[in-house]
Amino acid sequence: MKNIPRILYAEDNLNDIELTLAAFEESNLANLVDVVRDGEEVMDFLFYRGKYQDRSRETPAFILLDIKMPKLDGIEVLKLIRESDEYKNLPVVMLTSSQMENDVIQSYELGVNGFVVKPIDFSDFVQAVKGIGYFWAILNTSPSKL
Amino acid sequence: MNNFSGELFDQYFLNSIDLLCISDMSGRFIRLNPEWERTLGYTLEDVTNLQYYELIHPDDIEETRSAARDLVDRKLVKEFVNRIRHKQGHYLWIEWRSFLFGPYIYASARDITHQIEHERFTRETQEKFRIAFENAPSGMSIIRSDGSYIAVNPMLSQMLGYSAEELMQGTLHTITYSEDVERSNEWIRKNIAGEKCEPDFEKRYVHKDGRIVWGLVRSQWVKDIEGKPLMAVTHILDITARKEAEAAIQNVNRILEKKVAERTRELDQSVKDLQSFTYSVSHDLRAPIRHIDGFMKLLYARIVNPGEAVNNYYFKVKEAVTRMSVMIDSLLVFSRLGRKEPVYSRINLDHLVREIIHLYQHDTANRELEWTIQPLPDIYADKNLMKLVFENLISNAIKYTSKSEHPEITIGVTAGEADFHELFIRDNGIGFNMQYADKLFGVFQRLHNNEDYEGIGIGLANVKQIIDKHKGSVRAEGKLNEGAIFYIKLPK
Repeated sequence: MKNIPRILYAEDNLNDIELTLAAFEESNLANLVDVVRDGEEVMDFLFYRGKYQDRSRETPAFILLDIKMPKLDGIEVLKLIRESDEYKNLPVVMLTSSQMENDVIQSYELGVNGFVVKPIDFSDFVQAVKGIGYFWAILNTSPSKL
Repeated sequence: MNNFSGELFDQYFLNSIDLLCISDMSGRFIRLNPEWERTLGYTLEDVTNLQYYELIHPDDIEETRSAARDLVDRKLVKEFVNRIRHKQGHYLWIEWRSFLFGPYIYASARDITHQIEHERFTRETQEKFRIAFENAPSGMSIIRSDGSYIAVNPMLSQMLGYSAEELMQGTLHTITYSEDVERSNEWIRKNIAGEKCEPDFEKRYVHKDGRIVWGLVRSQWVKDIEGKPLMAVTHILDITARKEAEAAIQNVNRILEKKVAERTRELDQSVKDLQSFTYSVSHDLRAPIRHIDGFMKLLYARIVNPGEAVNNYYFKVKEAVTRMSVMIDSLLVFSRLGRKEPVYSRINLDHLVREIIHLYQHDTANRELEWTIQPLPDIYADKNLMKLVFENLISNAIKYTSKSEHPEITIGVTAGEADFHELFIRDNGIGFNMQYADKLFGVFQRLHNNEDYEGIGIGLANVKQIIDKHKGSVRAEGKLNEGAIFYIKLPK
């Protein structure tokens, strides 16, 4: 049986990481989540650089990107991913604190696959994470799964 | 006597168009023709006992004597003019041609009074014009249609720093400021053609020293019988001082306008700064409130058998978080509205209002709410934003009449103003104290407590913001426990 693909999650805020992981846990998704803390780490992870040079050669099911991050922000990371040969088709979903119009427009112009504003109510948030995980990791077929 | 008669001679003498006379050397008349009587009133009888000199204007006697001496010398005097007294006493100008033959003077004469007077009149007219021209306090010139000068007056020389000779050497175009040549020619062309053009034309000349002289020009063309323009008499008033004053005022105005624009920009900028501050604050506040809710719920989930107190606190925190999240999201909406420019279209307000009331039908189904909707005008505004405005005002009216005995809501339009529609929404609900009217439209400002009337106090702030964006205004009148009326003024 094939390995269940992993989810790459980029987020700098520890509280958010904890809550999002808790939400994944509550939603009973079998996929493992790799957490990186900034945009640069996303690129290191994807291209097996630095501390990720020895990680197993596998492509995540999708990337969950926060926008406000140190070094490279989510939009910049999205741009680099779309410009790369290896990951230009990889599903990317933005998960952000609020919907700045510009961020939404820019993300879509760069070819984002989804843009989700974290609901304040935790129960709603769990539902949102569950929905994202279920759709992108299970329901959706992306080129990386073929 | 035979010398002076004979039939042929008589015929000439009697029918001559001129005055003819024969006198001896002493000036005594021997014969006059009838023209004398017609012109000067005398018959031969009248003058028989008179000497020629007695008929002459005293001022002309000397000259006449001198002419008589010439006659003796040269036998002929031509084109001699003097004044002869008419029988009735007045003088006529007479031109003489006399010749001496034997002992007699033969003279023919002609009344040239009209000619002399005409000449004098012409001379006087010319002189009057010359004096006016030379002494005019404004520049004057007489030009031909090609712009060359027939005459210029001293004031024009003074205005432009050139002597009359220098001006006459050039043309109108020599002294016209290059940028105004075309305009000036066009004005002259229209003037000549008799087309409609401004009677007083403002143009720039160049002074000999290079500076610009503004002239107010008025011109009148003189044409020949065929209508060909001969010349124009032109007045040029030096309006440089006025123009400079105008320019100075314009300059001051420009500076003022620039200052106003600058201040407006600064104000716009601070409004924008405030908006982006509001936006980023509410954006940044979202994360911690989310964390509070998340961790609080995770914490609560770990409490085994929470007691009544714990449940109560949990509920209170949850409520507070909900309220705060609503406030944050409303602030985000408010600041987003602030940055949105209206997209204008014609709106059927009747339709819009009925649509909104329909929206609230569910909430008002079991209330005896009496609606009065007067015919409303079409307005020109952003439809989505106007929908938001009327949703806010109508839902407020519904909310604040919820405790009235016979709730009534009226939506209508006042007489307004020439350029504005004034719409109103009146209710007989809880109303408000006019003392706090200015607080109604502030963000998170409320005049009633949460328990009695739910809300966070952003609706009217949104209404005001939207109406302001439409360059309209909004105001409210109210009386506590009697009702409120909201007026919206929108440009037509």
